[in-house]
Amino acid sequence: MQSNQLQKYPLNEDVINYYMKLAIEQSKIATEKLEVAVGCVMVKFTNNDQDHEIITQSHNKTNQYGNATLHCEINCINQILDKYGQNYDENQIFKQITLFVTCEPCIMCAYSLSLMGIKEVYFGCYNEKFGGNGTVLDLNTANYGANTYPSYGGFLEEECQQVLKQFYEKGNLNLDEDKRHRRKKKEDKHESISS
Amino acid sequence: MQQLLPKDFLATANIQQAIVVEFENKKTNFMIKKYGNDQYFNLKNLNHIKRIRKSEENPSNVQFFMRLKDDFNEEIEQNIPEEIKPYLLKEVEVAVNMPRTKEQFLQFNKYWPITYKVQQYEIVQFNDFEQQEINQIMRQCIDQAKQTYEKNNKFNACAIFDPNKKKILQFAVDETCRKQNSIKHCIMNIMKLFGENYIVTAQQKAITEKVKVKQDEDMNDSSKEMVQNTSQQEKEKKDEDRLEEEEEEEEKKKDKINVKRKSEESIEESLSSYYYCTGLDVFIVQEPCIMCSMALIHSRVRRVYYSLKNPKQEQFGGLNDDLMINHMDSLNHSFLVFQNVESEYANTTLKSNQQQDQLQK
Repeated sequence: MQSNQLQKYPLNEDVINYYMKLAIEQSKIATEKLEVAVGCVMVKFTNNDQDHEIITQSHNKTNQYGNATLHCEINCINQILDKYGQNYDENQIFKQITLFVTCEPCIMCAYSLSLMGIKEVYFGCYNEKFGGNGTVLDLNTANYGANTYPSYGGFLEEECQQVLKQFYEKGNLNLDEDKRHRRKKKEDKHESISS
Repeated sequence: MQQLLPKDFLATANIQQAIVVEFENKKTNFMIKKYGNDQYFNLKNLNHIKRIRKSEENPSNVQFFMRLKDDFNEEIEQNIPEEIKPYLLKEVEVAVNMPRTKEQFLQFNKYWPITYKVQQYEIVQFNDFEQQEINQIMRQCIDQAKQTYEKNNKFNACAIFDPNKKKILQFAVDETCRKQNSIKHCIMNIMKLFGENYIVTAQQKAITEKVKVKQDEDMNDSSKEMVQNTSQQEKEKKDEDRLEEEEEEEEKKKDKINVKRKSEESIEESLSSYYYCTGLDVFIVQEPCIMCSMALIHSRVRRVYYSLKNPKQEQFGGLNDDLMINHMDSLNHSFLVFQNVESEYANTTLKSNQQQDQLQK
């Protein structure tokens, strides 16, 4: 946990860890499908955070649909919007929903969460490249014309990072050779056997 | 139309005092090896600043950049290694900000030598033909935006354009129902549609490739048979009619194959090898919000043209002078932005639409 986050989070740590582990499971599913290893769970908390139920869970699907915007948070929001259709009252829905995600939401996702007016966000590792919840921009607290929401980071940070690392060590296998940052290793098979 | 440039593009030199050490030319290698990455010689984030220069007063001497004066306190002064202590500490002026243009580089370089990388966001100048083309595409977008406004959505639409093939690949309109919190903005819609089309065409490509391989195999078999047939007939040299018939059949077969090949080529052309939107331009009527701006970065677009600035009443735009997400240093991609494309036409249509709205109410 980073020392600069003095704000105490309202949820019980056991509950947070339980849902973070579910999010990590989603990210592991993503690695199996050769997608970027980030997963999330949206949970509805009612009765003063006493009752909770999972609304949706998802992982990155950018390669599956050839769409770079399909991060797990966006997938979840889309699933909820599709479920409630045109006549949803999003204030009612998203004000009760808390997001658990393995990696800090990127700028796009952070602002989309802000547009939807989500209740809270708990995330695992920090995202130094595009983090929108305090790392690069602080879209969750600063007034950018939409709702603000509290965001807490660093839960199960190492586990979340490890899943991502495992993915990036291989490089993004879905890309063509000339578009990859890391070349495919010819000795991959030997390495996997030896390790 | 006007290109949106980062603020530091027009900035003048931000001059700060820095501490340098002066010593003989001979010792340069030794000093760099020993203290090049040392804590006393700290460039921090000033990676564009060169470490050494020749002394202006004494050509046989070299000046070694130590650190900025703001960064230089007593503690560091006391802890300086003894090998450096006998040499002179001098104060010089350094331009701290990164040069973005060549003019800036020439100006900044006068103080203390710096390096200059040619930036990928060069200043683009369009000829009349290109201008007209851009305006035409934007007009189409504005017309689409008008239609979607009448269906009670926001006045916004966008298009993906392939600058090499001069072809619009995809249109999409806003579907937010004029609600502030909905993420069905036109950029999100267009990426969804474009991705779906891309996947479908990629699957088609895989199928056609399979078919092609099979056809090639068939072709080889049939041609062998043909050769055998013809050789027999040459020997016989009797039934010329048959020969002619078979030749005709052959031609027909070839025609059929040619037609198939052509259709395959056209499909392949349309799919090509797009990786998200790499190398493609996006036209959008109103400035994209922060979410959409980041979506454009994730999609690796080449350029963005927009017509109207975001009024900032509901959502913040991400591609204006203030935020300029497209030129953020930490992000892995940047693109050029052009604003005020056909803004008069867009403004008049938007205003007339709004007036109609009020009348209906």
